[in-house]
Formats: sequence, C-alpha cells, structure tokens
Amino acid sequence: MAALPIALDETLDVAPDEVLTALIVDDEAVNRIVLGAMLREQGFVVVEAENGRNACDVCRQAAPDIVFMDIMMPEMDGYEATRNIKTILMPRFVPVIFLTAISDDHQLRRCIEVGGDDFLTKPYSRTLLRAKIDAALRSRGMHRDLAEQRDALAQYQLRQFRDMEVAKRILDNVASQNRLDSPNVRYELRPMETLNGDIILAANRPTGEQCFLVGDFTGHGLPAAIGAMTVHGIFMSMVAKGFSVEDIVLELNRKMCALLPVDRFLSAAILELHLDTGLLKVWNGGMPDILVRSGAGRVITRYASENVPLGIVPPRDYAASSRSATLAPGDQLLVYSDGLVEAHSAAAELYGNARLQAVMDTPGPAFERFDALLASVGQHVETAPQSDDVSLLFVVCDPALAPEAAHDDGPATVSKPPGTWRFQVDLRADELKAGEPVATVMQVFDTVQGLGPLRTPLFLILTELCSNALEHGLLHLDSGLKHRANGFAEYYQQRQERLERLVDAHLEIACQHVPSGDGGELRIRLAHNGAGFEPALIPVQLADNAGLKGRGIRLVRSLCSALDYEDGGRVAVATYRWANAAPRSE
Amino acid sequence: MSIATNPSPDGKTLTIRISDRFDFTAHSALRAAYANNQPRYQAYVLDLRETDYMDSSALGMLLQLKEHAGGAKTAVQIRNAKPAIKEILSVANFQQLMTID
Repeated sequence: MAALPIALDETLDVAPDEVLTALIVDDEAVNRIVLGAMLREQGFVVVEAENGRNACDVCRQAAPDIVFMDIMMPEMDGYEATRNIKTILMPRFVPVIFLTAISDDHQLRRCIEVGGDDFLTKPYSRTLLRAKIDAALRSRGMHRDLAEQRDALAQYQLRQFRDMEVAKRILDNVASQNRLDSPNVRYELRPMETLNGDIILAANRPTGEQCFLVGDFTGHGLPAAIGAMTVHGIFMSMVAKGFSVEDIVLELNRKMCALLPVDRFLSAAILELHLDTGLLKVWNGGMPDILVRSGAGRVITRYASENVPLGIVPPRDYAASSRSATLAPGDQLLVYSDGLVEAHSAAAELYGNARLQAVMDTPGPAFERFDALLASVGQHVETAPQSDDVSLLFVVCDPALAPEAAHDDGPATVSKPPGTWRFQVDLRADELKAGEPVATVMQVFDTVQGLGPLRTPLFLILTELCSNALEHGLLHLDSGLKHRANGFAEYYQQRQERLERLVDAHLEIACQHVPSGDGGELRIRLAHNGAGFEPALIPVQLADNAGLKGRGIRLVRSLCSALDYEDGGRVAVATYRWANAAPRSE
Repeated sequence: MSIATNPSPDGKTLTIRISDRFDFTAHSALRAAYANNQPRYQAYVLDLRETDYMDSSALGMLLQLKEHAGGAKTAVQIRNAKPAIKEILSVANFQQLMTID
C-alpha cells in the first residue's frame, strides 16, 4: 500500500517516502484492531503482539519505529516488556507510548520510569493520539541526528588520531637524532596531547662541549610540533658546525620571526657545558629559572630569564645575552618548562616553586633526586588531567660520566677524494666581534666535496689556533687566570669585554690541501697583527702545564706532523697528513 | 572570563579590563574589543586588576594587540597586574616590549 504522508509537521524529520512500522502490544484484539486501523490510515505499517513476551520476540525479528503498549497483559506486562524492548533495540531510539485505562498517578509515573516515553489514558481522542505520535517522532528525529553527528565525530577523531600517530612517529625519528643518551643526562617529556609542544635537544660540539636546548612553544599539538622540526634542524647543524650559543640564538630568533604568526613564539633555554672544565654557558629566553644544585645537595644558583623569547623581536633589534660560570664536579643543572610548576592537582593546586625547591634542596645522589622530583610531581598531580606539556632536563657535571666519542655529525663523506685546493679567509675586528671565525671557515670548508674525514681534525686544529691567536695575540689575555677558583668565568668575562673594545685587528686564516698517494697534506696557516711571543719558550710552557694551560697546543701537536711559528709567534703553521681515506695522526 | 572596554574622553586610549582568566578563551572577545574600532586608538591600556591567571597564549594575544596598535612600546600599557601575573610577564621579559607598571 502506498504510504500517506505521516505528518505535516516538517520538524518530525521523516523522509516523505519513508514507511514507518508501528508495533501494537495489547491482549485485547478489539483494541489492536481499532488502533491498527487508525495507524494504517496515517501511513504506518502495523505489526501486533498480544502480550509483552510476544512483543519482545517481534522486536528481535523486525525493529519497529514506534511502539504502543498496554500495561496489564498475561505472560509479561507492559512495564517489563518496555524495559526489555528498549534493551533489545539499543542503540536505536524507538519511542514507546503507553495506552492504558489506568489513571493512577503512581502507575502512570512508572511508565516513564521503566523507559517509556509517553502515555495516554483510554479512552483517547484521535487528535490527542496524533499529537503524541508527532512528539514521539520528533524525539526520534533528534536522536537520529545526534547519533549521526556522534558517529561522524568519532570517525573524524579516529582519522585525526591516526594522522597524529604518524606525525608523532616522524617527529620521534627526528628527535632520535639527539645526544640525550649521554650517561650524565636524564630527561622527561610529558606531552599533554599526542604531539609535544615542548622540545629537548642535545648535541655535542666538535670540540666536545655538550649543548642543550629546552624549548616551549606557545600552544600545543600540531603547530608547535611543526615549529619543533625547524628548531631541531637549526640547532643540531649549528652545534655540529661549532657555532656559539649566541649565534645559535640569533639564527633561531631570525627563523622563528620569519615562520611563526605574531601571537606565537618559542620560549627556550640553551646551555653549553664542557664536562672536563665545568665551563658553563647559559642563555635563557622566557623559561623558568634554571637551577644549579651542588653535589652536596642544595640549590646554589638560579639563572632567570633575561631575554625575550624567540620569534618576537625582529632580528635587527635582537641581542643575545648569555651567562658564563664554572661548575664544580658533581654540580647538577635542572632545566624545565613552566608546565612543571604549573602542574595542578585534582584540587587545582599548582605544584609550585616551593615544592620543587624542597625536593632539589634535599641531600642525596644526583639521579636519585631527579627520580624523587618526578615522583613528587606524580604524587601531586595524581589523576588530574594535564593542562600543559611538561619537560625536564637534568645534567650532571661529572667528567666520569662523559659521553662516548661523538658520532660523526659532519656532512656525509663523498666518494670523490679531496683534490688540490686553497682558500683564505681574512677577518677584521668587526668580523671577529660578530661571530665565530672557526664556524666561518668550516662553512667554506663544507662547500668542498669529499672532506668528511678531514673535518674533525681541521675543526680541532683551527679552534685551538684561533683561540690562541685571538685570546693571547689580539686580546692579551692571561691563561694563568684559569687556575684560580671561578677563573674560567672571569677569563671569559675579560675576553668578552676586550673583544668588544677591539680595533685594528687582523686575522688571516689560510687552508691548503695537496693530495699525495691515497691521502694528502692539509696545511693551515694563521697570521695576526697582535702581540707575538718567543716561540722558543713554548716547550717550557708546555712542560710547566700539565693542567689547564697550553693543553690546546699539545692537542694540535699530537694531531699534526708539524706545528711551526714564524714572525715572532704571530704566524702559526700546522701541517696535517692523512692517508687511505682515513685520517692518520702522526 | 569577561572583557569590558572603556574609551578615554579624548578618544585616544582604549582601556580593556579582563577579569578572571586571561587565556585562549579570551581570544575572540579580546580581538572583538579592539579589532573593530575605527580609527585605531593611539594606545591600549590593559587593566588586569581582576585577572587571576594568564597563560602563554595570552602573551601571544598581547603581541597581536601590540602589532595592531602600531608596534611602539608605549602602544600597549599593562596596569594593576597582580604579582603572579607580573611574574609571567617578567619571565618572558615583556617589559622590554610594552609598558608595564
């Protein structure tokens, strides 16, 4: 039979060609016949059941769209049947309307309690019945919309989740190219979502210093993770090339200004630590205080943020100011993102600086304290939902825990062997102030193919010769300073001051390579116009100093086949020979 | 979070008062408070006397407001911030970027 329009009301959300099935449950045949006729007139397909149990069976076979239920019936009454039918038809919403001769309030109320949606007392008018049906179908329509939206959302969420998982795997792969596995380092990353808005990076400079970056992007999730990829690339390659903390900061700021929208930025702390000497450099831009804990177990120094975070101030106006200090063996550094002190308990109480300080001020072995800190935060937060990414980096200044020899972070070796070449870099006072002469030379060097095996020795030799020429020749600094307590910090303080005042200085660096057999000879010549020294005194100085002074020159001598001085010590010439595509020290 | 704005009698300054939490939920309300006004005010005063909490996305919104106001250090002035809020502003060294008193 052709379906008649069920209702005029469009809000009922019934498709025009949709035929709805109504189930009539009543033990009186006459009631079923009268109601059935009415419903058929309205376009319903009608099925019948003469008691509750029978109704359940019908529902198991063919799901009705609406149910009309009597209360008093043999076998199973209307209350029990309604309860069962609602369960059978889950998760579909099928309205049940009780039709009953009972007018007792408590019993009518029970109709709703057992899961019924409405009731109508007999005898009922056609108009009222029609109104009840319309209301029930409207609920059914809303239910269906809600279920569709819920399913769509669930599907979207699943897709989103899978995408995030893939993105996370890519990020984890990037992050695994990290030197966080050093024995003196512990760290903890607790992202709030799948993707982390915090980053912890570690890399070793060719000269052995460990460099760390702990960063916290505005916001969380995907935008922050994309930013983290860029930061990773810049930091890792600049540390490997030997750039200073300040240069890395300036480059990161430049890149973040170019990439990030106005309201996004990167708070970060960058540290450089030389395990053998304890020399520490710290730059803090927008991170909470960096703590130094003594081996004896007290917080002894705090490095507060002194810089605007990265990506806010245009590069031409941005200056990077860092701090230097000398750590004692056993001293520990703690760097953390603000998610740590702002981690809140179920009672919305922040973890706070006081708790952090209390844990760090308790005596005990270094790593045990780090574990205690993690436990303390965990205890505080318990099951409260996380509201920010939390990151911690813990570094112990102990030469005995030094990482194994650095991975070769230099450019991949190319099969083409190095040929004959020569280049020269001339630096004046302004360039010497602006940055790292060694990094500049290494950039030139990296454009020549096939020099992978020469990279590390060249870097070491250049670093030592350059710092000698600059610090003693041009800046007249006294290495003796380094012997005193805190001497390193004072030395580098003086170095900075004198460098800023430097005028009329000139440093020439020339590198030359000549192949021979299956190897070659690399000659590095450094000349400056500062103060010379008596080269004859050098062996004596070296013999004097088993300690901190003159070590650089010993290192150069051990690497090179020859190290000669000319022009009263103002010119140094180092010769490095290698063979069999593998560098050989002589 | 609620935001109330109050232009100065000479029409040069707009005072914005933010109560309760100043975080990402304030984003559209804050933008609506300043982005529609024509002509732009010379300065924006953020009165934070009723602000109890502020996060890094709020710092981002301050940077957006500063850019909208022309970028000068005096274009955004923060007043009456509670100690906890001042601490957040000082860790990010925002005193270098805007006027905080």
